[in-house]
Amino acid sequence: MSLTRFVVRRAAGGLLFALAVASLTLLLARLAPGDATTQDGLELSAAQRAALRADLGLDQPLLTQYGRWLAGLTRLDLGRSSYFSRPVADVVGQRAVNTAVLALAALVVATLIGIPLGRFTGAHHGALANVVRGASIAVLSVPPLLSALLLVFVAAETGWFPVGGMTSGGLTGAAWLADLVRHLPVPVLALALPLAATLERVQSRAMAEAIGRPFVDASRARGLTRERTLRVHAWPASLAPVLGLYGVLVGALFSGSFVVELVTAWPGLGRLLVDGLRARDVWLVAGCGAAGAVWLAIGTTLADVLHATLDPRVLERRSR
Amino acid sequence: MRRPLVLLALLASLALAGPLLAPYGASERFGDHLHAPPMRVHLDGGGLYVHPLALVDRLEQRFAADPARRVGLPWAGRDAGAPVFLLGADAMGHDVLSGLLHGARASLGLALVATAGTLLVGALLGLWAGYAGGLIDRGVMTAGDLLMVLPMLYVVVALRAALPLVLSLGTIVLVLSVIFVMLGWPRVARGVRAIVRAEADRDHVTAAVALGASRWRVMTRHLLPACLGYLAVQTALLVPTFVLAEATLSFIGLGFPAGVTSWGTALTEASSVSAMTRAPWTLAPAAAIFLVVLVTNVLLEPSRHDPAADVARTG
Repeated sequence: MSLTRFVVRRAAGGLLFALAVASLTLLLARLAPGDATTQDGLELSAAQRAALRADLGLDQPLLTQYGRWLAGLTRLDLGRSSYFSRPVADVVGQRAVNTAVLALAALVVATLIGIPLGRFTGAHHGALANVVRGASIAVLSVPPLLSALLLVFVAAETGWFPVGGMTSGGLTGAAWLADLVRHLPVPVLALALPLAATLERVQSRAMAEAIGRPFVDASRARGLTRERTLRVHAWPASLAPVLGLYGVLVGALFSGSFVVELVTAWPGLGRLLVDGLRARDVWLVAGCGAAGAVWLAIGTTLADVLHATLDPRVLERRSR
Repeated sequence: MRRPLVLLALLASLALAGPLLAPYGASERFGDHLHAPPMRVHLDGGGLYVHPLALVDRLEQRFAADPARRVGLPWAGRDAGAPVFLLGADAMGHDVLSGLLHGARASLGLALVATAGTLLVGALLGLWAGYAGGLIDRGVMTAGDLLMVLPMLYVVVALRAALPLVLSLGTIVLVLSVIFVMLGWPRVARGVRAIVRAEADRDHVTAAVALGASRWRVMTRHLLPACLGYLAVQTALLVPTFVLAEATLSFIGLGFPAGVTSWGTALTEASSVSAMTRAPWTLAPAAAIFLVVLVTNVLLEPSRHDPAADVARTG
């Protein structure tokens, strides 16, 4: 299979996947008992309720609702949120960007920490390598829920960073950006540390495996220094399994950011979904599902294409 | 294969015995000891004892130990006027240690039930797909792959929210277990299938088929035993995953209701910034979850070669 064909197939698959996930979310949200008109504390007469349901399009048959929603999707019209009383696309768009900022920053941080450390522990056997290995297993045991709570605690005790939120509000331009950067460390580290430990472990194992292969001995026999052999031969060979992991990491990144958003009050998709589910806001929930599915599809597709570009053997395996 | 089983036995006995070991009841409250700090345990010829805490300033919630009095540990005998909080008390005056032990039953119990279900479903589907091959194989594996890409938490939350928010405790355990099984089986099935595919070509299986063994017999007597080691490791990996999932769901308010003591519901109360800075000891359930995951990781580190399992837990 050529790379172009692989990319096209993968992208088409991603699109279908996103559509399926979004549709399922809508279905789940519609199956849930009650809707925006039956919330606690909302006292409506029968006529008011019927009017509200008609206004939200909830009085139509399920298939009609789905058809309308799909038609709207092509115009990026995701319906109207009853909870925020404004178009879903406006709310979801902003929140999806916030989640992406958090997830991307965490992925970059995790990569920058995890890969070099894994390369080190995979190739060395000293006391320092053992310390890093132990620390990595310990951090691996602190899933995002715990790391977020822990970092919020540290931030609250020391006052080094804001404990939650994304910006302080009322700022513009450079001041706004500086404020955003000050808010980043707690949620980003909470999300990145467990991922970094995962990457460290995988890279370490891959490195150790690569070092055991004959070509490493061969290049040492040709007179290359140990460091050069590791850098030029062993390390590139060890990257294949690590790159393959990134496709799976995207999902974990999303799950993790969900929790981190809730603990650190980061205004992202996860919080929005929970708000929408609690308020029984069908279109908002479906919109969140659609936005999340699109990010997920983009992420996994990019990861797979990158993997295939750097390790063409993937194409062979796929076509078999 | 020994290590995962030891771990399982440990967690199961904690789930069973936890509430019996708790010094105080799950809903027992001490109104004069809200957010009381953990007490120092002293040792001398008379055994272990603590100095009881007395409220000095109700407004600031300040406590002082009374060095003149000594109280034995609560397991030996109870003094109603002077409760002993080895891990402090929470905002409602519950003993944190007791909460931890009572919560172990809900949190670990649910995780163990869900793990058993996941193993059963995963192993059966994996056996079936691996042995039948063809379309069944492709169908099962594709469905599994799709499920594995999805961010587990989003799916759990969406599925849980599709049901009425208020349910009876038994129903909640059932619903959560079913959801966990639905999301957990693909990883188990994938590994079992790979082993079955390799094993099915071996002579002892061919011999069994030639001797007229039924499909069921071949699958359970000749193929399943080859997967036992893998299944044992998976079991040990699934339990912490589900403990964490319970904690997260209860944290969001979609797991156990507030009246049930579990590690997740206890964390919810401890998670506000004011609560955690004032009484960090209420974060004890987080430490308990950390310990469960850590013990698993340390015990299984040499026997695990599946990087995807790490990812599953961080998610």
